Amino acid sequence: MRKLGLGLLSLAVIAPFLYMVSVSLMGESELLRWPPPLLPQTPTLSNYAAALAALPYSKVFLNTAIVAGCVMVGQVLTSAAAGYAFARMRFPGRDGIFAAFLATLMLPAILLVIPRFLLVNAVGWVDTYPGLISTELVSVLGIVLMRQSFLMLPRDVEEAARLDGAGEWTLFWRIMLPLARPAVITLALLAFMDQCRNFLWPLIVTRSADMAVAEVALARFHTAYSTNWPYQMAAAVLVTLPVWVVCLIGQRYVMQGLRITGAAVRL
Amino acid sequence: MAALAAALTLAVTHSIERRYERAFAFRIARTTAAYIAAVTPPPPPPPPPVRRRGRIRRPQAPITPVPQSPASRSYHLPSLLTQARGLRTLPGWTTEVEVYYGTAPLVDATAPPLSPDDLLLLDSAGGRWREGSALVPLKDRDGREIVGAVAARPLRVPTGPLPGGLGFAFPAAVLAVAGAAGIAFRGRSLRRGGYVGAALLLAVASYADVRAVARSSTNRWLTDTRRLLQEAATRLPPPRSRVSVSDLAALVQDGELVGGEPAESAPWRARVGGAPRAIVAILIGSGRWVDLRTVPAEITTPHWLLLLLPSALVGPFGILLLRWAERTPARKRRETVIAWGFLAPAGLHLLVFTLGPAAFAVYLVLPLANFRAVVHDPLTWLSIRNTALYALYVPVSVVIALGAALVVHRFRVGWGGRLLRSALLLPYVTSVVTIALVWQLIDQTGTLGLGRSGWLSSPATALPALMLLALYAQVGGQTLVFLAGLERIPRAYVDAARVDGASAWRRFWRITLPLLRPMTWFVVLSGLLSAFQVFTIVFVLTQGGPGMLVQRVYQLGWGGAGGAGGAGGAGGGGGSQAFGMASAFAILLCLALVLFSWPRLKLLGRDARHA
Repeated sequence: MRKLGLGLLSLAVIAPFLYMVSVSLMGESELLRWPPPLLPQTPTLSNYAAALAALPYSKVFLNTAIVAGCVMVGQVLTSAAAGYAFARMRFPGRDGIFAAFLATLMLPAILLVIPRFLLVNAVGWVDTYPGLISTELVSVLGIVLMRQSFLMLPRDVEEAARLDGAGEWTLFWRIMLPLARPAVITLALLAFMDQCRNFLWPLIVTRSADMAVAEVALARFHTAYSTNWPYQMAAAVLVTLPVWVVCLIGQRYVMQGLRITGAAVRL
Repeated sequence: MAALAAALTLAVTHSIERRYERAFAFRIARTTAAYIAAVTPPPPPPPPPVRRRGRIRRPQAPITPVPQSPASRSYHLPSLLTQARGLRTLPGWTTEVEVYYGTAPLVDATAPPLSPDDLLLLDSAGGRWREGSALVPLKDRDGREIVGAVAARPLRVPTGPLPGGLGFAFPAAVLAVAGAAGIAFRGRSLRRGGYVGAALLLAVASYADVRAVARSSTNRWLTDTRRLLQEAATRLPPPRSRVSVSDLAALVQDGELVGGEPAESAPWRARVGGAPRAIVAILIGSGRWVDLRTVPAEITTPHWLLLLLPSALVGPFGILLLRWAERTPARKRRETVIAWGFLAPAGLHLLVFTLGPAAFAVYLVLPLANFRAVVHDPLTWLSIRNTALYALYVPVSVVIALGAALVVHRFRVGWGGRLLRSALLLPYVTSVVTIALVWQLIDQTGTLGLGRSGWLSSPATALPALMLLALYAQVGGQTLVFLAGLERIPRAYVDAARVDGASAWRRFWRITLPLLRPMTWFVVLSGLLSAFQVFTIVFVLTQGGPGMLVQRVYQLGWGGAGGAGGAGGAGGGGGSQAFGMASAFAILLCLALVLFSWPRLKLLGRDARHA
């Protein structure tokens, strides 16, 4: 009985998304009837075919994948290295520098958007992959996350490896980083989701349809077909589905990531 | 080390000075080209073809206007030669200039000619640097085709107190190196050796040099242009009639020419309409004076302090570093170097893409009138009001999430619990535009029991509707955070309280909530921060309906006038004025958000320390 109640509750939570899928299967005129139907009368996949071609999906998918992939790798590498230094090494000025890193979290994105745009524009990176990627390569939250996970690793492992003659780099790359794998996956997923949701920066730094990432392309699609809801919903499903699949597979790690972001989404 | 820093500073100073000299050379070359184009007469018309009278009179061909051939738009070569040679003999002229007709040099006939490629390149670039002189195209009389080129080679102007005109920077550099040598040989401390002072002196001296060169480049352009204009006033056709000021003004593109008073010959600085100008008085004809005004080059010199100061301070920092390396044992030194190596990628990125831009945003705001403009803008206050009202959803959603977490926590086992977790996660991981679109669809079709309402599009209800949407998007993730927090509370606490006979209500207030308090604050503050920066959903949904703070910055900077008007209009980019105002707004927003971001940072730091 309780299980059923929980099941019904989950159904209520995802009802908007079920409706999205349902509308994406409708014919164009079905929504015009009153009252609007909840389910398609004659399910059709033609909206998907049209959205695939009109978005254009392959280009958008590729752009988003390239940007998210590069940012993922970049954030993991830089955050792991910096987090490792903060957690496992002793050097003068460490705490001061860590505090300075943390302090940059207080700068809101919108303050940085203008000077970053001028910088990227001056280098000639507007409307290119480097322009989309370069500003996102370091995440201070990622550094905090990696530092925490490195702090929790036992000292014995490090000492044993040192006795075996491992250098600093081997120690980090071969031993510590694999031990911190959960945090690495969490960070990678956070970076991936962040890039799939990023809107303001791609909106500003890209102009052509060729360089549009998923969110921007979807917003433009909305302006272009503002009344044809089945089209839009098909495009939305196409854009969202890959992210859902990845995040539901890595659900355990996404939950870990929730804690460090405070579950805040930049809406 | 000190010598290296001094050399670096000198090199930087020199290259900046060269920049100004080049800029001056380009300016004077352009002005010269315009002068030559104006004063040189066209070539004499070709002799009319002699028509032979035939025996058979053909019917007269209709008279067509002869199209002006490129040659007729060009110059009379002998007088061009005279004009060009005349430039060398102008009294008080400080530039070495060469005029090319086609590729052939006119002033110094033995000089090597240009290559045809040089002219072609000029056509596309509009001027370039070639073998130490500025080369700009000489257009024909209509300004259409390139018929030649003008080259100007800047001559160094001596500055500084020393004989030989080495400037201020060189003696200061000698002083700095001497100070460093004193430290090294007598083993003094850095502070007492006076080296830091000498290094700062070096920076100031090189700045003085740069400023002097910039100033003199403007002055030289003014005086040289004065000579040209005086020449032009006597030569401009038709001869012996009064030359009009507008004719002369056409010669100086990057300056302005206005009627003036008699004045001394040296250029001076004044503020014209609030903006700084460099001015020189010119006598054209008997008793007629005009003022030539231009933007003084030295107003851009403060930028270079950003480059000069660090390069001068490389010396003291390097010595500090060496001293530190001497003091510390080798093992510790090695660890420090490696640690810095690990930090370098992230640190450099933050420096270039976060701290640098933040500093630049502050710089963009100058002049401070931008702040005044923002504060006096009624739209500012409207957006603040809208955003503050919107952010009120955050406490509501956190309370709901906490309640939901407490309920779900009791029934967390089994497939139902797992399903609910996935369901709650879904809105959190969905793209924001998708959520916005789905809710707009629901709003427009009126399904799910909301009735056909169009809440999102009517001004009165748009804000509450947005809050509802944000609540939906956020509450799932927040519930999951609280669930994770509840699971970390040791069962023993709750069981012990239950044995003591505490009611469920009491257990919540006395045990659960205090243990969850840091997490609750963290969630609330994070939520507020993101609420105050809301952009995407408003941009997609309401097309500028209730203006939010970030919307306003976007509109100011990228000029989405009025409504945000669809995602297509992201091009353009405003002028520096617009960016200044947008930055002022963003800085005010940042300062206001410190109220939330500072305690959030504290919580994050504590979390990081205790983990």
